[in-house]
Amino acid sequence: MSAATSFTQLLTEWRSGQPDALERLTPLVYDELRRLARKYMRGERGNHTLQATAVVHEAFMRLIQADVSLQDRAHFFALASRLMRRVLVDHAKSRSREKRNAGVVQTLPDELAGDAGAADFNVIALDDALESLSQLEPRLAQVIELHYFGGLTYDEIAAAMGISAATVHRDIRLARAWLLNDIASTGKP
Amino acid sequence: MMRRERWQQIQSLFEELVDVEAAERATRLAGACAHDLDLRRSVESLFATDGGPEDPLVQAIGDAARSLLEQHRDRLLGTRIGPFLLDSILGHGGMSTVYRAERVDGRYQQTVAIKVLHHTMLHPRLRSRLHSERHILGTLDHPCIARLIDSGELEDGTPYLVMEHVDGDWIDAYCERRNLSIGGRIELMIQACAAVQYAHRNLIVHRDIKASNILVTGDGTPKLLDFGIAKLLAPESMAHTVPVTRLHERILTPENAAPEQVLGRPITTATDVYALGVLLYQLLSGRSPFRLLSYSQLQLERAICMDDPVRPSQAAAAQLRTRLSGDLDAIVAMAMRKEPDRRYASAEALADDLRNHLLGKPVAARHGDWRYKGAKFMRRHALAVGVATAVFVGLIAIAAATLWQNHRIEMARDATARERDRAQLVSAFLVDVFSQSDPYKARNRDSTAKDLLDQGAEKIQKNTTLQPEVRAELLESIGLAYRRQGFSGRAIPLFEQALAIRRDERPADNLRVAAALANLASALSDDGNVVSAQAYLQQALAISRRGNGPDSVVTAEILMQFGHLALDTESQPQRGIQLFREALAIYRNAAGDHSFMVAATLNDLASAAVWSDDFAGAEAYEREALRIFQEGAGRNHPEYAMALSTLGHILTERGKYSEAEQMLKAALEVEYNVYGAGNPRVAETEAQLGVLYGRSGDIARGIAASEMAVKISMDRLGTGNYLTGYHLVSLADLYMKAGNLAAAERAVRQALGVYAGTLPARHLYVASARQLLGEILLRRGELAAAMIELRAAEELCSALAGADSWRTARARASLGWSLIAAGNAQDGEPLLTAARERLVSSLGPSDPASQLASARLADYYRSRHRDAEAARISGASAAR
Repeated sequence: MSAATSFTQLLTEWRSGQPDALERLTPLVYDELRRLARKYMRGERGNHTLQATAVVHEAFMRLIQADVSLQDRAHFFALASRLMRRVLVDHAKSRSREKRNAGVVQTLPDELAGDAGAADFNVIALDDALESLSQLEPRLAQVIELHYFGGLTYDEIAAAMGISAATVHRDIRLARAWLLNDIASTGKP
Repeated sequence: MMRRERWQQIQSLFEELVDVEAAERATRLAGACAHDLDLRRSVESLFATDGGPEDPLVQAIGDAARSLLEQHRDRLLGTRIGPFLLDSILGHGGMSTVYRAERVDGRYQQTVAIKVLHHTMLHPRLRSRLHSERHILGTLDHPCIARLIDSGELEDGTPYLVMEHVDGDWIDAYCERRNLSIGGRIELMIQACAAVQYAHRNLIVHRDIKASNILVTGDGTPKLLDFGIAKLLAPESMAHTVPVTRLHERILTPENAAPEQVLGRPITTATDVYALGVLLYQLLSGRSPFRLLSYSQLQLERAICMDDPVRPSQAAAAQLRTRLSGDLDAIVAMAMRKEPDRRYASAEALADDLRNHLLGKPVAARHGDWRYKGAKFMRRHALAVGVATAVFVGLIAIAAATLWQNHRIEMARDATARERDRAQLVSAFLVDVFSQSDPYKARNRDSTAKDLLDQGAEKIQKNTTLQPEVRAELLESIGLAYRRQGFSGRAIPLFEQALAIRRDERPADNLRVAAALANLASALSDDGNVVSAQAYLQQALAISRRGNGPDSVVTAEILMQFGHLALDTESQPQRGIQLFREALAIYRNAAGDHSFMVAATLNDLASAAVWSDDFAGAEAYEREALRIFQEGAGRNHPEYAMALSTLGHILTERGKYSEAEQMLKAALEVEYNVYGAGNPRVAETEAQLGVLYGRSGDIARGIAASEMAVKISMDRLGTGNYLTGYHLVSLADLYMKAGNLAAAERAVRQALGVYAGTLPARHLYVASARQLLGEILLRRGELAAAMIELRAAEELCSALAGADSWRTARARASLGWSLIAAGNAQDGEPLLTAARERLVSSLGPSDPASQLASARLADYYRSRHRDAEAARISGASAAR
């Protein structure tokens, strides 16, 4: 592989199935997340979960903006939001493995105790449900990925996918409802 | 898995009802799903999860993100690495987190900084190199370098470095917070340079010098961090062949990267010199050289490799501009050159120059360096501005020539250190003037060139601290440049001042006094003041012959100038030729047969031969000159253009029109490139083209070229220069040929007006103009007036060029014809007959003047029914 690889090149390689592209991408995402984490997390009160999400989104935007031409943006937005999803899901999976191995239930750190209720499900369940949704209606899964993992606004998604913002809005409502339903039904045996 | 059809039903119902109010939605849904309870329940359950104050998806993702950030943030705080306990985070770098740590093994108290790398997948090769090189880095022991104390790997293989903990501020923040003076900032930079130099001597390149890698302690000592670390962090392949800013932008701050780093070229100590230049730029101006918010990374990289940053003095706050312009701008520019081998040779050299600046001594960045500036200037602007730049290129070439001349003079003497210094001051000053001009700002190139020189002249006048001899040299340099640009009038006072200084300072220094006299004379003769010019030249020649010997090159130069004066303004071609030959012998002897001076002299000899009607001789001289220039000079050499132009003129006279046109067009191309469109040299070549087209019968094109010449000449030289008159005469001739007699008369009368103010009354140019005016008047039927002009022309030509010259014959032929036309065939016929014979014998029967005389005589014979004689003349013409 060429050594002169940018973030976007790596994304393309990852998409085309190059095995080590993800391994090389992940640290870049981590670096970007870390860089931004301080800004959002240090000494600030409030909703840390939302801040963390914002960090992810900002990291995403910073990574993608470097050298992407306008006509390639939609393509790279899709790839990068997919990547962000992968990074978070992989992290969550490794955490839950650690927990299983350690045989303990991790409690939330004190500083986060005041947060508005944590989710009833984790990102792994979301990932599974998204996978099902993409089998059913790939476009809906894509819109969810761009909005939740990439942080794109409705308008940005509309522009990237060539559909109207109203359609994006409807899509997200439908997809979200469907996902929550799916997660709820999978959760109950 | 839901069936496809069922999903589509659900989807369409959801979309149909999504924006409908809840009560109505329930009614409509019940209606739509009257027989399909399952469908109704599916859609209802979707709407049940739609909305709500919190978005559970955001929560789930946020949990994961927070957990990830937490995990990767502080997992080491409170843990031990070796004997050190990590107690707080000092900072996050792109690839690492730096912890503050205390020694806790009780042996002694020590605070360190531990840098833990983020990269979990450190390449194995990198790991081994880290180990091998940490020993080298560990040996760096300098008060301004933070020491590397230890390095190792955490249990999971994450590498870390233990470094001396420096309690201080980043250098840029330190300068701002203490509101440090420029001098104070430079002192800090000098210390930083010393540290870098020390590391270089130990064969370690920093590679990532920037403000956030230099801390300044409370007592004002700068400490460089992370020496050699950037190299350790970059895989081997990255070190040389990869644009490091891209993937590993976290290794390097891109805006601080040197061009070779962006381009993936080898990194050397020069890379650190560049980075020191960037840092200096930042500390002095408060801004980054290439920082622009709108820059994408690609644009930034392009800028780093292609653009020159705004000078620090221009980037800085207004009150700093004066302080930064000059030395400091030049020092930063030299450190930040795109080509590594053109920067300061070392960090020490940069420090030396900064020190020189603080001590008020001349800085290396500003002298000995004008060639680079000129070359860079051309390179940078050649594409962008094309012809507009040509004037500047020309100017720089002239400055170069001037300095070279000065240098040569220097060489002819025992060059003392003092004189070398002076030469350096002069060149630095000139470079300064040139570098501070902006060709884009000027509305047109001519005013730009003149503005530039005006600025230079003004600077000299204002600067009261210049040594007299430096001032004299500067005055002469600017004067020369004015002269070459066609502003001789402006050169005169400068040359006069320079001469006065030379006489005051070193009355015995005949070489400089003679050169000053010669300069002044040249400007005066350009400006049409021939009498004064002659007087000054006489003095110069006498001084030079007495002091430098009759065979010195200086004497030859004055002889040449004298020859020009004799030729151009006194109409004494024979005297001109004699002077030129004298000079030619000196040059051949001193510089060899192929030197430019020989070629230039041959060029002048050719011109003189033209004046003596020796066109064959002229052609031979000029071809030799052209050959020398062609072999030795670039195609854009002004002298080469001059030779082309002169040969074009000679070939025109010899009737070789197509080769002549070729030469003149080639000359014009070079002159446009070198001088720009508005230059008198361009005017001369245009005028010559006009003559050529007139001769070869394309009168309309001839007029266009000639009008161009007149326009340029009027704009630039004005009516106070005889050259304007000369071009007007050429144009009048073409108007006459085109049958536009009124315009022709106007032009030639205007020319005579110009000559009256700029040439002696008894001059061949005046004779030619009066000859032409006579011809025009003749054609307008004003015989009496025509005869007055023609008699005057005949008398002048006879006196100046000789009774036998073709000029005299031409005038007599015209006079004879006008006598015949006036009814005095008795006097007219013999005059015309004799003159025609003379013209045919000296110019040949096909020369326009011969043909005109022959045609007139034949007409006369036919009008007298002497058809046999008419036929003989016509036949003779035709037969030849």
